[in-house]
Formats: sequence, C-alpha cells, structure tokens
Amino acid sequence: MRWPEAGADPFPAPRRREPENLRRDILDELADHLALSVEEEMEVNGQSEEKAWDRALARFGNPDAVARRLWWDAMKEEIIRTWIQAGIAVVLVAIAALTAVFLVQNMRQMQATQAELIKVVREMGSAQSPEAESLPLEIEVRRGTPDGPPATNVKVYLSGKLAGNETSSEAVLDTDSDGRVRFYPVPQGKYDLRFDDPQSTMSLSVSHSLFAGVGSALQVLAPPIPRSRHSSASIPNCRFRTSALWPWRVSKPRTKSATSSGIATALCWRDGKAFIPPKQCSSVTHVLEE
Amino acid sequence: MDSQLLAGTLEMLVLQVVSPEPAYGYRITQEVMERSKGYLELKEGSLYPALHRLEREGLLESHWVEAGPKRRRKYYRATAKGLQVLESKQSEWRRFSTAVNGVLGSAPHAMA
Repeated sequence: MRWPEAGADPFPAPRRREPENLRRDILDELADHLALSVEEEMEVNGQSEEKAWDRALARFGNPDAVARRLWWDAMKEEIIRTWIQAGIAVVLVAIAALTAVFLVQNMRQMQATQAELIKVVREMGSAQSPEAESLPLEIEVRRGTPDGPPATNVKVYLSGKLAGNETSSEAVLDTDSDGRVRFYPVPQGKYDLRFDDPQSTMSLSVSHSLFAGVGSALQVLAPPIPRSRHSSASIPNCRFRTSALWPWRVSKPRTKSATSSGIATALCWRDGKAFIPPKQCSSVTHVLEE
Repeated sequence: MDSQLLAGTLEMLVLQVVSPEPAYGYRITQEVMERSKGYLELKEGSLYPALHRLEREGLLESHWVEAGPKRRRKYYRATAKGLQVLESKQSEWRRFSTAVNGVLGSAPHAMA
C-alpha cells in the first residue's frame, strides 16, 4: 500500500475561508516523510518496496488520520467561529420569528377587538334613530309683551347642523297667524336664531341650545309697531331730547337684549326734524327742551 | 521510554533540533533518535501536529524546498521567540533533572 493513494482525499468537505494550499501542503509534507522512510527501509534494511511501505506506515501510524488532524488543527478556530456565528444567527432568526408571530397575534387580536368595538358602536348607532335624537323647536313671536298680539310674517332663520346634514345649514320659516313657527326635526345642539321683522324693519340674533327637555319652546317679543311718529315736529333752531325704546326681547331664556331704554340726543335739522336711525329703535318719544 | 515523559519534553526536543539549522520532519525524528542513541523514538505521526502547533504559536517558521520531481519538503527553523522558549525550557529541565537526581541520590549537591 502506498500513500497517498491516487484520487484519495482524507479531508472533510472544503470550508469557507480555508487557505488555498492547506490540503496540498499537508499531503506533500506527509508524503515526503513516508517516501523518505520507505527509501531508508529499502536502502538500509534492503526491504522490497512493498515491505518498505508496510513498515513505514506501521511506524508512522494512519496518515489519513494525521492529515485530518492537521487540517482540523489549522481550521478549528475558523470552524468554531463559523459555528458560533451560525448559532447566533439561528438564535436571532428564532427571536425575530417569535417577535413576528407575537406581533401578528397582537395585531389580529387588536383587529378583532376593533371590529368588535365597531360592531357595538354600529349597533348603538342603529338603535338610536335620527328622530330619537332630534327634537322639535317651537318658537312664538309676540309684539311688545308676552300677552301682546302675535307677530306675523316674521322671518325666523335657524342655522346650525340640521337633521340629516353633517355640515352647517340654514332653515327659514315665517311665523304664522298665531306668530308661531315649528322646526322639526332638529338635532340636539347649539344654533343661531335670527328674526327679521318686516313691519318694524328690525332684527334680532340670539344663540339657542336645544337638548332633551331644554329649549324646545321659545317665546320672542318683537317690537311693537310704532303707533305715531313725533319726529316730524317742525320747530326750527331748537333742541329736544329723544328717548327711544330698544324693544326686542326674548322671554325664554333671558338675554342681554332684554327690555332696555336709552336716551339719545339729536340736533335739529335746519328744517326742524330730528333724525333717529330706524333700525335701532321703533318707539321714539321726543320731549322738547325749553 | 514512557511516552508521557517524552510528550512533556517533545516541544523542547524539537526546538533544540531545529535551532542550529532548519530541519524537516523525518530528519527531526532521525536526529532525536541518533542523539539519544536510539532511546528516544518519536512517534512519527504525532510529530507533525506538534510541529504545526509550534508554527502557529510562532516558535517555528517554515519554508518549502523542491526535493525532486513532484516532491516538496518542508523545513522548520526556530524563531527568536522559539529560541527564548527553548532557553527557558532548557534551564527548567536542568533544574528539574538536578532536583530529581538529588532525590535519587546521584547528585546530592546539585540543588545548592
């Protein structure tokens, strides 16, 4: 038996980062040793080549095992480092996979919870019809006092979010012969009301809250229609005092525009007529100043 | 000879053989056997792992020489670090052998 035999490869499978000549160097070194040993057996002891090989191999031991050990000694640091890196990679992949599974499970659980919540909210929403959330708003407009005559044909503007509308809108109604208007359905909320009185040419703007049990009925007092106008007194070059009544009043709830009065002083015109802006007051009383 | 005793001194013997001039593996085994008059016979297969380990540790350096057609021979030589280690091991061995001899009675004054 010779060593190495043709085509024999005593080494493990090639490894990454293995030195290019490692296997060749090991084989050459051991083969040279065995060749020298065989040559000496043949020359000194007169052995045949076959016998010399047997004796050389017997002294040397298993050259394949020695070659593998030399290869392992040269590569073990790299192999162990590779094993450690592979182990770390496996652990990291496992951690990443577990994390992903955990996240997916959490996400699914959250989605299920959200779906359940949405379902509950929808059920609650369907249980409460728009009619149930909405209320009527009845407004009575009278002139002067709560027992005064009904103010007819007063335009009432209701602005805010009305039933069925997500955006703000406005509804307009004229008071009937009883001085009443009725808006329905009106969602609960806060609204702006504006009253335009064509007879007194005056207007009123108020805010109004409509909630269950609160604000469904509202009485508004419009200014009385002026019975007489004394501003046509024609007294040249004189001064006189004018008192005016600011008449709009909201009976429920009370607002800042409750009944008040004020004193205004105006200069006479050359023709002796005083001027009071008609939008600010409807009932004007002039007292001549001596 | 007890193989454990030889293994404990193998590093020192190899460094000693290759310190004056480079030598290859087969020559090292022959040299050790000749100098010990046949008493120390290195197991040839175990010599090479020792040579490669000493080379990785920087105690030996090697080079290849063409030894015939398709035949290369690897020579080893002690490095400066190898020589320092050899010197240390030699003195340690001398102290050890003197101590052992002293116990055995062949050199009663050696430990002074």
